[in-house]
Amino acid sequence: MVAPSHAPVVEYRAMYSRAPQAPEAAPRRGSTALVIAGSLMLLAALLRANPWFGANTAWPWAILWENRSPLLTANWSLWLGSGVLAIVLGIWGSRRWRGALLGATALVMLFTCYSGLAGLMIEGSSVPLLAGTSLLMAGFLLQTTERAHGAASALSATGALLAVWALACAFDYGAGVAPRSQLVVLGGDMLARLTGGDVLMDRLNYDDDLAAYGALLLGCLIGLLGLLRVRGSLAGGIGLALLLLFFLIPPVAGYVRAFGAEGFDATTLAKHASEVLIPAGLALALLGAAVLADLACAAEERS
Amino acid sequence: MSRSWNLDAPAPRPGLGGSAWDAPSADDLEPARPGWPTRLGYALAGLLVLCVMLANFNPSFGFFQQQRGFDARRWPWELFYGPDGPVLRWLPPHAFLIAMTLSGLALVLCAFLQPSRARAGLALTAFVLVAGMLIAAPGDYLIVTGGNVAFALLTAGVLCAAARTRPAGALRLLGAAALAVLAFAFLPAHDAPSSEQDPLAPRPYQSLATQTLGGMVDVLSENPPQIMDPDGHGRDATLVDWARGNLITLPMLLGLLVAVLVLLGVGRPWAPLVMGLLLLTAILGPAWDHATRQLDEARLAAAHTPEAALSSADALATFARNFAEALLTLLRVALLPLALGLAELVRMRRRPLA
Repeated sequence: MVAPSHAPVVEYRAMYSRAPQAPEAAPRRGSTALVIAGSLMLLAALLRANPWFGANTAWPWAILWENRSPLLTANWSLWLGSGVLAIVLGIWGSRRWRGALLGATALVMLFTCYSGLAGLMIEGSSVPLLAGTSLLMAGFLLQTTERAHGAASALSATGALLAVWALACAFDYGAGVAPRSQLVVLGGDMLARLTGGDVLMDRLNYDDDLAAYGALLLGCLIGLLGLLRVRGSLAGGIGLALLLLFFLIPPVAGYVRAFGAEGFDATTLAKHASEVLIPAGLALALLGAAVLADLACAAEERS
Repeated sequence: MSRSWNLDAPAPRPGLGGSAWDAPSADDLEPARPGWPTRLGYALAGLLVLCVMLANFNPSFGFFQQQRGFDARRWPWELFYGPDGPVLRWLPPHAFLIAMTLSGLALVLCAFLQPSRARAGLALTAFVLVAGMLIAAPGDYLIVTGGNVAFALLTAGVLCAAARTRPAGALRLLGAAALAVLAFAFLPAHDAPSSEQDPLAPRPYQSLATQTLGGMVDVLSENPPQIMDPDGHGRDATLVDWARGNLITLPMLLGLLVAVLVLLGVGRPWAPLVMGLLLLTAILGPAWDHATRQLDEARLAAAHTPEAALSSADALATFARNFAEALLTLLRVALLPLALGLAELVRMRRRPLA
C-alpha cells in the first residue's frame, strides 16, 4: 500500500497560513511625458520673465521675491513648483504617489489659470475645453505607448466628448442676432472654406483659428473612434499630432507673418513661443495629460 | 440571468505567491450591487438635476436667460415642438435642456443599474455634460468652483478609503483631493487691482479659509460684529449667523478634518455618512440660504407696498427660482454625480483591508 502524499496539502497550508505581507515597494519608473511637461512649464516661465526679451523684465524668482501681491506669488509659485515637481518626480519618483500629487497640482492650476496679473492666463480656450484637450491628449499618449487600452479609449472618448460639448455650448451673443454656437459657426465656416466659399466672420487671422479648430475636431473624431476599438500607436500618434497643430497653428502662423514683415527678432520669437505654452494652454494641457497617463499606467501595473 | 460579478478584483500577484493579502475575499466574489445609500445618492442627484431643469422652464416662474429676453415661461417640451410641428434648433435653451435632461435621466437610471462600470460611466458622463455647459468663462468665482470640484473628489476619496474593502487607489485619491481642497481653501482670493490702484502696492493676504476662521474669531470675541435683521434692527452676530454665512467654506474645512481622520485610520464606519452629509450641505446649504434671503427681501419689499402683497404662490415661486439659480452656480448641481461616479470607478479595484 502506498502512503498518501500530503505534500500538496502542506503546500496549500503553507501558502494560505502565511501572514499577510506588505505589498512590494513600487518600482521607480521614469515618465518622459512628465519631464517634458515640467520642462515646458519652466521654459514658458523663463520666456515670459527674463531681463532680455521677456514680457516681464525680471527673472521669475525675482518676481516671487519682490512682488507684494499674494495672488501673483501664489500663481507663480504654483507654476514654477509644478514644473520642478513634474521634472523631479518624472525622473526619480515612484508611480505610487506622484500621479496623485501632480494630479492635485494640475487640478488647482486648471482652476487658477486665469490670473491676468501674473500673466499666466489661458486665453481663447475655457476651462472645459482645456480639460477636454488634456483628457484627449492623455488617451493619445497611452495609445502611442500601447498601454492601458481600456483607459486610453475611455480617456480619449471622454476628452473628445467634453471638447465638442464645450464648443457646442459656447455661444456668441451678437447684438440683434440669435446666439450662435461656436461649433456650428466653426463647422459652417470650415465647410465654406473647403468648398471655396466665403465666411462672414471678419476676425483678424480667422483662417488660422479655423485650421486649428479643424485639427481639434479631427482629433476628437479619432478619440471617439477609440470606442469602436480603432486605436493603436498610429491612431495615437495622429491624434497627438493633430492636438499639437491645434495649439501651434495660430502662434506659429503669427510668428511667420511677423518674421516676413520685420525679419528675425528674439523678442517676437519669445513672445510667440510663450503664447503657445501659456495662453494657448499647451504646457498645462500636457501636464494634465502626462499625469492622467501616468495614473492609468500605475493602475494597469497594479492590476 | 444578468448578475454581474465583480471581476475587477486584483488577481494574486506572482511575487507574493498568492498570499492572504492578495487572496480574493468574500467581498470580491459578491455581486457588485450598489447599497441603498449609493442608490439614494444617484436618485437624489438625478432628481436634483431634473428639478433644476424644470425650475428653469415652466409656465409659472421659468427664468432661463430672462435677462437676455428669452421667454422661459413654458414647458421644456414646447421648445422642441411648436404649433407647426417639431422645431430643430441649437440655441442656449436647447443645449441647457438636452444636457440637464440627459444627465438627470442617466443619474436616475444609475440608481437601478447593476454593473458598477456602467454606473460610473453614466455618472461621469452626466458630470461632463453638466460641467461642460455650466463652467463659465474664467472669472472671480473660479477658485470657489475649483474648491467645490476638489471637495467632490474628497468625498469620493473618503467613500472609498473608509469602505470595508478598501480599493487600491483610495488613499492616494483621498490624499490628492485633500491637498487640492487645502490649496483652494488657502489660495489668495482674487485681488486684481482696479484701474486706480498701483498693481505693485502691498495687499493683505486673504483666502476663503482665513475669512471663515477670522469670522469665527470675530463672532467669539467680546465685541462681535453687528448684523441687521430683515426688519432693520441691529443685533450681535452669533455662531449660527457665522455658520450660515460660511456655508461654502465650512463643509470644505470640516471635510478636511474628516479626511485627516480617515487617513489616520479612525474613519470607519461613520466617515462616509458624515462626508455625504457635508457634501449635501455644500450643495444645498448655500442655495437654501440664498433663496431664504431673497424671499425675506421680497417679503420686506412687499410689506412696504401693501397693494402688491406677496401671495404664498409667489413666495414659493421666488424661493424655488432662487434655489434653482443658486444650484446652477459654482457647479453645485454636478458635484454629486462627480463624487459618486469617481467613487464607483475607484471602488471597482477592491482590496481587502490588512
